[in-house]
Amino acid sequence: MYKRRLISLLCMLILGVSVLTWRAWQMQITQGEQAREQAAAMLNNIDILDARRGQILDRNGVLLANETPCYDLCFDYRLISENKRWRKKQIRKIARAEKISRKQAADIFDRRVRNTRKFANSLARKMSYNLKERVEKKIAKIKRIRKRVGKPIRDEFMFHPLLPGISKKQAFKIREFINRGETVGLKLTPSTKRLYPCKQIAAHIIGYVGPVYKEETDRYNISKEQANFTKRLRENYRTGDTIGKTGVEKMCENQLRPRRGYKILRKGEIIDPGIKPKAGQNIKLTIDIDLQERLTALLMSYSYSQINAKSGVHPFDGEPYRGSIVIIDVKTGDILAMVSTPTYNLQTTRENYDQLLETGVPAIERRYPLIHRAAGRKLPPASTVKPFVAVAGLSSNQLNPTELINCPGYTHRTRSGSKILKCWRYRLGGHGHINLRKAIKSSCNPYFAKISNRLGLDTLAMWFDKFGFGRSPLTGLPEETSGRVPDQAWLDENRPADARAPSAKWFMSVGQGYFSASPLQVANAYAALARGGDWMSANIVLGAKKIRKQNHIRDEYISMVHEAMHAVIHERGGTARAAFAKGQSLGIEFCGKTGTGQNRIPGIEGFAPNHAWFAGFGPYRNPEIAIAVIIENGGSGGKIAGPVAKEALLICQDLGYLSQGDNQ
Amino acid sequence: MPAQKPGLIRIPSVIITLAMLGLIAIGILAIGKSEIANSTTGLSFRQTCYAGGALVVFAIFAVVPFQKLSFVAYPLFGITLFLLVLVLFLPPMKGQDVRRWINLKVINFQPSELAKLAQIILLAWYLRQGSRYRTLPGLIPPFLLTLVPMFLILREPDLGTTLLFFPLLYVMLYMAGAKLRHLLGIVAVGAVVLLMPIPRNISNAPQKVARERLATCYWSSADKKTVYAPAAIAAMKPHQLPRVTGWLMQDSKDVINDKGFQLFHSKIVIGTGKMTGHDDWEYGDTFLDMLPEDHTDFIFSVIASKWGFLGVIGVFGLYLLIFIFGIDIASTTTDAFGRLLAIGVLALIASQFFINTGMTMGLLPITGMTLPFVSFGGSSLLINCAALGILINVGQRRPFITFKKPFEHNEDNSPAPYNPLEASAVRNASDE
Repeated sequence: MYKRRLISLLCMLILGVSVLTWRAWQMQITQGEQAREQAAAMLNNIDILDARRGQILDRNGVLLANETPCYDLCFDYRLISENKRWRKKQIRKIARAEKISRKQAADIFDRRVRNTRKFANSLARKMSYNLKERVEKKIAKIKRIRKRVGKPIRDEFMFHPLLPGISKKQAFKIREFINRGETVGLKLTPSTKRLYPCKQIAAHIIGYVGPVYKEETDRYNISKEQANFTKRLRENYRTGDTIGKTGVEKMCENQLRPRRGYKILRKGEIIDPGIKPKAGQNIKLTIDIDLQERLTALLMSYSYSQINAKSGVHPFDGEPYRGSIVIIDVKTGDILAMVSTPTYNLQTTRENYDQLLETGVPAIERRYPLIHRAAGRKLPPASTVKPFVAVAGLSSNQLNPTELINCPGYTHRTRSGSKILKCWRYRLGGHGHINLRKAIKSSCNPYFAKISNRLGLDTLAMWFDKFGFGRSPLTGLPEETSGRVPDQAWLDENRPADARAPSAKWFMSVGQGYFSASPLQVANAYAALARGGDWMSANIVLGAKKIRKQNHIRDEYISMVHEAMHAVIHERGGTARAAFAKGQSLGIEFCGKTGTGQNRIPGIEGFAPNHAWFAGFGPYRNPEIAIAVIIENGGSGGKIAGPVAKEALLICQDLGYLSQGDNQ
Repeated sequence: MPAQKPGLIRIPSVIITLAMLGLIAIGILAIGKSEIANSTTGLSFRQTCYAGGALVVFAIFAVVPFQKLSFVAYPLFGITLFLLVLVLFLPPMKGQDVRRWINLKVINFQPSELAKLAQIILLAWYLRQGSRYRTLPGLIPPFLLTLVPMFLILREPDLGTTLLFFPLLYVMLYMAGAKLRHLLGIVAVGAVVLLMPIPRNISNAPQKVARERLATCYWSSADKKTVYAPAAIAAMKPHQLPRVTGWLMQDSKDVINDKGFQLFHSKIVIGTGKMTGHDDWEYGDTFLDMLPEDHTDFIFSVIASKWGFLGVIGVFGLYLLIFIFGIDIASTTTDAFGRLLAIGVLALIASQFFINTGMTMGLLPITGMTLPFVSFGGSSLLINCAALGILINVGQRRPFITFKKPFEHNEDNSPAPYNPLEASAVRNASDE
């Protein structure tokens, strides 16, 4: 029995060894080559190569945004948070390295920390950073995340760039200082910095960049299943990458962003050259930065205090104008300038972001500097739409230009006696019987309201659509808005209470009510009118593909409207005559239209001061540029926006975008 | 078999000794290789010193008649238990939450290693006579004697060493002649208990733990709040479960940077060895660097990597020599105590060998188990050499004369009636 069991035990041992031998054979002989290949693949060191983000230039090649190499001074989190365990460890390390007692080592360590502090503070002062505040913010942020995660996070053991954007020259000195060994927890890392030499000029157009967020990587990155390694390497964002957040930086992200390359190294030798990195393309804008700068300065030179407010102090008293100026080249559809004030300094956007967001500021005091007012703000276009109503009426054969229509000063009197859609001449008894030319010239509301009765809501909406209202101007800017033309379908769906009221048509014909458009849309519509009715997409990038839509409007109608708009500026009784006649003369014939838009300011009860509009194009016979000016809550279009527009046009003339007159 | 005079060196002893020396030499060379890969120094020198000491112990155990061990069986067991209790009260090794070592300045002594040897001697002494363990109640004392040190070692915690006691007990009981149906019955009951589905609420567990519990359960409730996992899994400590899941999911790519890291690298290292292995091969070196514990628990991977399949066959061959000639010794000796000692030593070395190589090649989950004679470590080498010394000792000694061949039980439980004629026949047979 014992022998039998002994033999069975031996058999089991031999069986066990056989199984192990079979396994070893399988792993080493059958799959050995695969294992070596796998190991080789894992040992290959992929060197990721970065490239530069593209530049943004203006139409004359002036640099608007540029990526420059720089250095960040990074601080160990344990240093700034005064981690005691880290201190102990460092002291032990010093004690061991120098073979001294702990106490001496502690003295050395503390001296180094003091040195580091002193050095960092002086550097921060030199670079005008508030280091203390930055450190506090960083610690608060990491503590917050730490609390949420509930366990130690990587950031607690990392270096954080608290003093970014150090120049090469400065970095050399700092490195020398660090190498002296009298500092702790400091590291210089190469980085890049987006430079915006123009600072607050055209800030809204250029936009800013920032580190890519998780939402953005989730949205843009291609997953493993969809593409191979190379494609993913080139197209995907990595943590810490720069991405355009607003403006052209975001719009042209695809062209501007660099594409990574790689090469495969083993032991420092290149075994696969891989692919080369590709720097981002440069983007040339249609903007002339000189014009933009001078127009920005122009708009900022006015102040709301200059407005003679009838009812007490203006709510924005003391501030420079909030508003925009858009100038479009009529022939090409290029945007030559698109000013939006108040603006912000692009270079310091990230540092001042909370301030720019104005969180915690009462609504009445908020200035909304981040809003791109020219392309992104929806405003009632007011009387500036009247020429288009005229074109609509003429083209649909519902309007005879010589026909006299009575303006009693209001459009409709209700049974209770209150008067709807009054004319601005209501107190003077209205315009009386007037024809189309006079109606445009003196901006008569009831005239156009009555025309809208003939046309109907949807015909009117169709004609507005032809001139780009309610439709994207197709610049591609992420901030641009399509505005809104409240046609019957929209009203039925969103405002059923007002949908069937006749006043819907009337308000639409004078650019009020639910009608809204951005200054850019207005300027582009005027450019279309100047072109003879053909709508073109507005371009912000030079050489971008243009979209042209022919509207086939008869020339006689167009010239009729042009003539009336010419009268607005150059004839007695024209709403913008006073503004253009004063001071230095333009010397050319210009066409324009003023507008005064009723609106509400958030935080203020009742109606706020009106938006002052001026839109136009010129020269009269051979239009070169179209302009739209809006001073938000400025008041009367002719009185407030008109002079600004005239000054703007003078600047255009100065820079050669508008031909000079003979009598200059 | 011709009668052997005591003191004459016998062939099995020589072969086993040579095999052991070969394994120690291979171990020192492999530790040297892992040293180069990890750019540390001194390990192979220290192992050589340990080997010197271990050989002295080996010689002592081989020369001093093994019968003398009978006197120390119970005291040694007592001392071991004391040390096992003591180690639980000593401060843990720095940076770890385990209490396995007693720091003796020269080496860190592991009482659990000594416990293995003490257990073999104790069981051999206890089982050497009688046939009580051929009944089910008779199995209780040997099981109890094994479970006490097992429990203490489990508290350290050291699951690998704990589990080693089962093969020891089983092989010794089996060879001593315990009834197979009893042994298998106990295994069956143990399996049922360990694999019993236990409901467990994981709604409050951390996400990572919950995911692991879900991965190892039989089934879960529809809302994934209650899992029904084997009792063994439910009883596992948080650091043990990932090893099991890492082993179960070893072919999946998700675990190679996490719980399957060690096994993945071990397999890569073994695989790159191919037929003849490689020496200055960058892949091997780099991966050895990345393989944790490559001089102790994963020394087999180093051997497989450096000397390839041939090296593996060589190591297996040396072990097989020890097994075969160990069995030969166990079969030749007629002394009951000696037989059981030999069997116990074989069981000890064989179980360590199988568990260690099995885990490095992904056949078993990873437990902390050294490869006897090869892995770096003083106490392990010392104890294994002492054990092998006992085996040699048994092989060298003339057996005591007994009236009855040990463990040749009748199939009925009553002891065979004394028959002087048969006894003398037996004596004659054993003296052949």
